[in-house]
Amino acid sequence: MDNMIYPRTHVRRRNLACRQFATLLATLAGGVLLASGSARAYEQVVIRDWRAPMTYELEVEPHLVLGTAPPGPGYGTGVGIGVRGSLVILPDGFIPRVNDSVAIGFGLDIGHYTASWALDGYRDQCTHFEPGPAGTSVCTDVTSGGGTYNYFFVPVVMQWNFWLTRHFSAFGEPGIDIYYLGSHGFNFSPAAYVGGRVKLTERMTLTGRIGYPTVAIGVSFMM
Amino acid sequence: MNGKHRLILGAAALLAAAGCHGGPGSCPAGGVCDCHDGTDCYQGCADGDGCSLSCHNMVHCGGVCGNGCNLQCHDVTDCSADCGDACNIDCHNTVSCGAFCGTNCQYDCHDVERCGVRAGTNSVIYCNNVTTCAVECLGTCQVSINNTQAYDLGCPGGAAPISCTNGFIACGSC
Repeated sequence: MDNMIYPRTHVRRRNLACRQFATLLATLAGGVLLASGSARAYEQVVIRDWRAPMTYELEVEPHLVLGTAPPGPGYGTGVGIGVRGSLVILPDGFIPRVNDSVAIGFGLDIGHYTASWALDGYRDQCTHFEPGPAGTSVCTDVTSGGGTYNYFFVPVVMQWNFWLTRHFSAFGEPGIDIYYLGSHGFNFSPAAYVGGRVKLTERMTLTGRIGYPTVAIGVSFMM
Repeated sequence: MNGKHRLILGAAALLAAAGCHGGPGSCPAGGVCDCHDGTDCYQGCADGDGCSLSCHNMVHCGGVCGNGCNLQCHDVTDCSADCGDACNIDCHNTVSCGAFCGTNCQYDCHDVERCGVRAGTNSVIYCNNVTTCAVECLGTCQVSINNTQAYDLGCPGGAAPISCTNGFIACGSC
């Protein structure tokens, strides 16, 4: 009997988790909306509509990035530039009767990190080793002030959008960030972002996201 | 204040807070800097000379310093030291301990698998209770070898080391 009940319970739990996540995002977005002063009495809520207020297949978003405590051996706080492309794969999203949509996002972010700007401390690192007697290895040069690090991030995320009003949308982005750090080569780290868009024109939004490993602010072009 | 102003102000505050933060990484001249725990730590004497750098209880660590420095390393897998003249290097309870130092260097390596040092004129080297001890002297030097399975002393120009009455072996004179 339990085995017959389990699948339904599982689906119910999954739907509940989806709704809880959606509620969380909606609450967050609502908070940002109120705080930004963009909430106006006549703003039309569209979260219960079927379709997004702007139809697009690809979102291209150049942006500025800021990050701290980068993954891997680097340290510090960094600034940089990047671009994100998000291809809509589910225009109607996951949840019936909720105005959501899903896209796959790919990007490239370049960040220059300075260890002495670290919020979480840093250590100097060896930048040059030479072979010593008895098969030893001797470090002959170290970074100064923790050094600087140039990161290349390639985020790959699932972007889950919630079209809340005609002018405001929020999204969550779980995924991974593949990164390249000079002589340390390639590696990857988990990535998670939440963000929002404020509509500027019919095909353009001001877009911001916070998360790890970077935060970003940019302009999205809906194509 | 509108949203755009708040955003700019927030970003400026974040950058200002980040810029004011210092760190323990670079050791000032005459400073005593200790690094322990974690995996890697390589310290440098930011002003060049006179630092005391120590590291312990980690995987890889080392120090780079100018003249008149004290470098200590213990309970680490791989230790490294690069120092100028008149340095004291103390390395123990590690797997490897490699060092380069200038004139008047004292290198003390004990309870280590592999001790290796390239030292300048008038240096004194101690290897005690180690598996392998390799010393390259760039001038006159004295070496004390105790309870060591294998050792190698290289003298300038391929000259043969000499045994001293005090139990040391030496390049040049005792």
